[in-house]
Amino acid sequence: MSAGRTMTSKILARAASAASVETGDVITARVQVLTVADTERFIDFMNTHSLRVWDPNRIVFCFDHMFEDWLPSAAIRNHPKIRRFAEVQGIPEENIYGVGRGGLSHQVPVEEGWILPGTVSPGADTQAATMGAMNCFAIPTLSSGTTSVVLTGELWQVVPECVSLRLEGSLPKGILGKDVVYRLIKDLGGLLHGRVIEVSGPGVAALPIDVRMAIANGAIQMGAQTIIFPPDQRLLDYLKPRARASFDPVSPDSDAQYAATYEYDLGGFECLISGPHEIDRIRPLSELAGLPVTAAYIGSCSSGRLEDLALAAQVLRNRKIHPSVRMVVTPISATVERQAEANGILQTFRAAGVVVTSPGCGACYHGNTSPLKLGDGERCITASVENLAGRMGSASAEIYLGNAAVVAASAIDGQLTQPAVYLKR
Amino acid sequence: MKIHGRAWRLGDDIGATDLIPARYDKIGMKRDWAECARHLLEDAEPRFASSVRPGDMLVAGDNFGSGHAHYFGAVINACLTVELGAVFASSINGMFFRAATDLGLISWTYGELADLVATGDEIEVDLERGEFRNLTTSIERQLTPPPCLILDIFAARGSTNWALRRAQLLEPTASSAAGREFRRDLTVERYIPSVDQQ
Repeated sequence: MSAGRTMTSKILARAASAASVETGDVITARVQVLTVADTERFIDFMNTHSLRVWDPNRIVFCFDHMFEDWLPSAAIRNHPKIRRFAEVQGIPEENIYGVGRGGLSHQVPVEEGWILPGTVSPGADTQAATMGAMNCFAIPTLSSGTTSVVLTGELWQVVPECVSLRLEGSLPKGILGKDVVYRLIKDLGGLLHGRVIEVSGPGVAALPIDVRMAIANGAIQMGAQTIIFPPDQRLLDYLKPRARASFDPVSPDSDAQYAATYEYDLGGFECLISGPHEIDRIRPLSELAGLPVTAAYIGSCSSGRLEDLALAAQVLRNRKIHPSVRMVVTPISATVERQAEANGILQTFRAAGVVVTSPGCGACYHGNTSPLKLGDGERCITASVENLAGRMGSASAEIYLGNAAVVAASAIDGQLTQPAVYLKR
Repeated sequence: MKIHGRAWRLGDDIGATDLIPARYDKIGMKRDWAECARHLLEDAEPRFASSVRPGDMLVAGDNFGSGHAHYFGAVINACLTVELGAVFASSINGMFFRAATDLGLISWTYGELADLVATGDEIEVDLERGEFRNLTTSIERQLTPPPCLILDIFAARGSTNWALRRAQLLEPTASSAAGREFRRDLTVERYIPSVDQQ
């Protein structure tokens, strides 16, 4: 009698045209869509050797990393190069998400209905697991493995072990996906060894899609290859107006085999802070409250979604940023920017003294938004992905990571602050 | 695919920033792999960078290659620069394994090797035949060879050349094919390691 199957094994078996696959098997999986940021190097290789992409309709480019300030020279070089490459290869213009349509390479393809349940849909960027919120197998190919996918449309893959993350309850007000990520890094950081996390349990239903994506965004930092969320009505409702093709979601068998099961009550989560310098240096916000900050940031692929911006706007409504702090917000995509504009969120930010930039990776990618780039000795509270020294400017600056509401509350006070007090009133 | 060299025995939990300390991140960002190579294992095995020779192998314990993918490129390219023969460990982080294999650095999970070698031993591993020999201690073991798909990527020195062959864009060259028949149509391959290896 065969053991119950995980979502991972079902997706990978389907993509390899096999009846079933077992942990440890090596497969080549057919790729549904490959998403690519504007930093990739494979184009030079393809051009030099006059090579063709496997299917021009299944590659999606997003211009996200190279917009701001000290990177325009890179953007001037790379963006036209990507467009020329697409033209030569027959990649439709529709697939190139440039200025005005753009945003992050694991956000826009989801918003635009490219990423479908039950598929293998990798991305070139390290944070590609974000798309696992769509019930698909989304792993980062990194620059090292992107070319082979571009050439063949196949992803080589050792069928990984999976662990089960079972969620109950619902997140308290003011708690976002980043707090879930930091709790999981803290608890599971040394235990996952590149396994895949499969989410389940009654707690999933109450999680907005934005929060699911923010949780899946942290897979690599947790030490997992990726995270897969189960399909539910909320996901199907999200996909209904978007999906570009029919799809077949996967659910785990009730007796699916997992290497470990971790259970959490979302109601017990609190605001956590990661850093400085090390992602796994995680402490409750309550321990760090009062620490002065001079810079505050919301943006990147781990925040900057509507859910993040809306909560931060609640905190900031009719309030002002502390005069010693500069705060910058970068919406994750052009679509989110327009929604936030229509909802009055951006107006609330601007009234509070926040600078809102055009969509993209923003200040997370080497501090490339000039109003935020950190100077020597500065301390920043940010809802972005990384806190490595020098990531957002000076290597002597300290980067503390927290959720978007924490960033907003701390910007008002000029020091790390619990957002709850501003969310109550 | 026979690898011959000296062993460097490492412990458990050798992560990316143990392979190259994070203080050298800027060198990695500049893609200066030769300079990165000069700092390989600087804290964990200070003799390594100055005395490593082509073909030498790392033999580590559990949880090799953990840490952030940001550091993987520098680490793997530095290992390729010193012509490291292979990395064997009791367990290897899945993301590190993917990046190493894609770039052409041979790595595989062989749990039992950690007990069979000491730093400085002269060892030989024939991956296709699954033969291990410690020439210093005369210990020999039979190992389960890695699956053919993985051996194909190893033989191609990375997934880009492997993909070129799969897509029939490039024929295997004599030196890298090493007499192997290339399996273009293989899509699923069962792999059951011996109990010792798990």
